[in-house]
Amino acid sequence: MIKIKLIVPKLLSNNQSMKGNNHIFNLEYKQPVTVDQVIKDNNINLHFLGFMILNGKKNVNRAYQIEQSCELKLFIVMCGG
Amino acid sequence: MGNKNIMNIANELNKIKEKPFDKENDFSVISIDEIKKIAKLGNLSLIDVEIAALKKEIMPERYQRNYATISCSEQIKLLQSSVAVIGCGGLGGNIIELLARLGIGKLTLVDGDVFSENNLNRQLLCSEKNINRNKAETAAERIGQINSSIITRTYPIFIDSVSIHEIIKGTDLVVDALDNISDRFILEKACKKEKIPFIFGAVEGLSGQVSTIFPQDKGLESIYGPSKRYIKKKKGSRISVVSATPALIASFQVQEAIKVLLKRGTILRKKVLLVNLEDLDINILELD
Repeated sequence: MIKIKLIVPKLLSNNQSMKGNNHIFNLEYKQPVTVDQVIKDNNINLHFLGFMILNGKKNVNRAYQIEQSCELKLFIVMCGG
Repeated sequence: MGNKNIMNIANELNKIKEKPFDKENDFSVISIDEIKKIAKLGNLSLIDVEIAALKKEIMPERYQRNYATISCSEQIKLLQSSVAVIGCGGLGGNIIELLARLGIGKLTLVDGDVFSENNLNRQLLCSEKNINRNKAETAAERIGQINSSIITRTYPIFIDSVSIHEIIKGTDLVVDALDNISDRFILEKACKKEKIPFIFGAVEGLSGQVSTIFPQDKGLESIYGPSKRYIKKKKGSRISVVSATPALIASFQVQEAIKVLLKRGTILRKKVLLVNLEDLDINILELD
């Protein structure tokens, strides 16, 4: 079982009624899964999606295949000045 | 300038050098009034006098507290530097203030926008008095109040792919304080063509990011993806940004600028600093 702790900023979350700036989803997959699939499964708002960071270190793209339990943290794209 | 003038200036600086050190200092200092007096005497710019003083290891008093962190020769380098700040709002206001206090000799200020009431929460240069005033012109006025030695060039315009080349040409460094992604790509493209390093910064809510991009680097594409994804939005962005975020990110950008100009320290090249003040989450990511 691959356990994924998905951390989603509220702006990217499909559930705007949830409290807190970050929403945490504890997910389980029986087999390796791409970041893209995880995003689709959780209705992430792609319009504002920026970096996707694996285990606080690695910057991954949507094609990246997750094969081990991990933390996946999403960031909003930042444009303000 | 005639030989007599050079002698006069050298004499004036020597007199200062011979003065006993202040208790607090182990070096000679020169005040703003003394700099102005010598500049008038020699028909020189204030920066010329500051540089001449620093060459004799006389520290302009305004930079006294830079000393030990920034040496005399480094202060000269900063005074001889030219930096363009593109955008004079949340990030830009803080960046301009810090660069002026550090003693960057020439500052180019660019912004076509005017201050509005909804800028008051975070934009350092925005006050109730200057609502509806142009941001770049206000910034130039502020610099004059902080450091009248600095030479400013003001462009009260929004950048485009043509004007940006004239604006940044001849500068040593460009600092991005724009508020949209499509203009950032225009700026980056121009910086690459003019072979000028570029300090990127962006904010949103309590989060921000910084990176230092050299002309040969992949740059913004490794942060935002392909530029064609982004179309400039009409004025009136409703993103949330609170005061601490641009102040913090601007500080990082300014320090990156100083390190690039002085060729020292560790810079965020091919890396991006991501900061989230809400969760005290700080990441430095390697970029492709």
